[in-house]
Amino acid sequence: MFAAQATWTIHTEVFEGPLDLLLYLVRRDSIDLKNIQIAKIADSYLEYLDRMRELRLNVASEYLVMAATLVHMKSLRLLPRLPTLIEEEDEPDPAAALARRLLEYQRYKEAAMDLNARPMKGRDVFVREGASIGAADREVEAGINAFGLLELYYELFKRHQAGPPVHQIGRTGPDMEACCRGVLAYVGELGAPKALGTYLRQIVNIEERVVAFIAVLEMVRLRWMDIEQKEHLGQVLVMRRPENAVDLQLLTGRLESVEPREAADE
Amino acid sequence: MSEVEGPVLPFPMQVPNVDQELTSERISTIAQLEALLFAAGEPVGEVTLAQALDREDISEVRRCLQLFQTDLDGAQRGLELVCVGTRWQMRTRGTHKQVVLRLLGTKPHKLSRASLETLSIIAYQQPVTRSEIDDVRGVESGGVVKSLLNRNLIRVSGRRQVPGRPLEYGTTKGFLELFGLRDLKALPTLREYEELAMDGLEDD
Repeated sequence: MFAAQATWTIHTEVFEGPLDLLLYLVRRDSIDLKNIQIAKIADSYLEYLDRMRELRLNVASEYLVMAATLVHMKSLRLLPRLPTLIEEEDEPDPAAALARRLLEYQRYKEAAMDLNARPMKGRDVFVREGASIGAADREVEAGINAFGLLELYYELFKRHQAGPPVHQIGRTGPDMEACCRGVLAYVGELGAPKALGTYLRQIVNIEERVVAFIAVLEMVRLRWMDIEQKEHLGQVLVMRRPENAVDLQLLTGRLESVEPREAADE
Repeated sequence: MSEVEGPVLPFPMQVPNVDQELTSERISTIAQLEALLFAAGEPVGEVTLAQALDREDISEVRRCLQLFQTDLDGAQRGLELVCVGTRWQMRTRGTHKQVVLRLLGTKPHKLSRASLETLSIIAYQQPVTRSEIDDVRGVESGGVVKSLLNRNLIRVSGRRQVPGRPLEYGTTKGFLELFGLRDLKALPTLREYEELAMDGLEDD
């Protein structure tokens, strides 16, 4: 539904999508796709969307995405062209890309019309629903009879009763104390820096790995250890601060009580 | 005036002197083929027809089919012989669609524009992924693709070997049947556009 200038011209255009609408507008406003004027087409498009909304027609989200794209392209055109310092390859011209998209869409639109113009089965030409041909109805020579199948069935289910049901062993959680001890043993008492990654990587169980990592963080927080990284993306090193004694009970207690939400007081 | 195109023959052919070719033996073969194609309803391959006729010479069967086709065209018959997906099928002619629809009492099977656009993209670009279809049309085509799958006009033809491994789609024999196409090569070539075609304006 579109109102042109002063007169009410109602077109009953039903558009398949934003590209379809753009094609219509390009034709209507005789926009040259080779030198596409983004400002003009963006304005026409937005104007059309406004009218659709005025008439309380639902505007599907794809139309809004296209509207945003066009406005973006329009705004890029408004920016002054700065001389580029670095030799860049030709930047893809969004206007040309849009023109290509429209042309490609039109190809398939036309192809669809051509297909539709052919005599279609069920619409223009008709066929008989005939008897099905082929081997489907031929009798199958079965190499087995009912008793043979029964034998197989019993045999299969007898095997299943062979042993008692399998007992499922659950997994216990990671042993926190053991994890902490492991970290402390690795870091040692003397305060020499050790690579954290090396230690963590050799822990196979992922839950234990996580606990060890958090244990390290907690110990740093409690000032029982220091952590450093000498260069950007370099190794992460941890070292013991021998002057502060480790209280293992305290550490495991803290680990157990760590709530994820504690980090929220940033 | 029929808007239907001429018969789709498997080979480009002129048929001079058809009468000379219609030996009495051939006439009887043609009659048998007529019976077979009527009984089958669905498209039948030349080999299957030959087997039903208990004959080994496929090219002879094919020649008879072509003669039959020409005969139907020339004699203003209500039926025509069409080659779809390299198989043969008897169909009513488009000129008679009104009366047939009246008899059948069904509404004509129409395809929506979205379906047609999606179908044409798949037909020409197959194998093609759903997101490629979305890109060309500028809209989400998931629902259309699903409905086309249900109607057996397209099928999943594989997976694209890229991250995400999306499904690829292609057309089916049902698609060829629907549009009376001999094979995919019979699809009209896509028109190239430099400018927008102004003469397509009254389409919508």
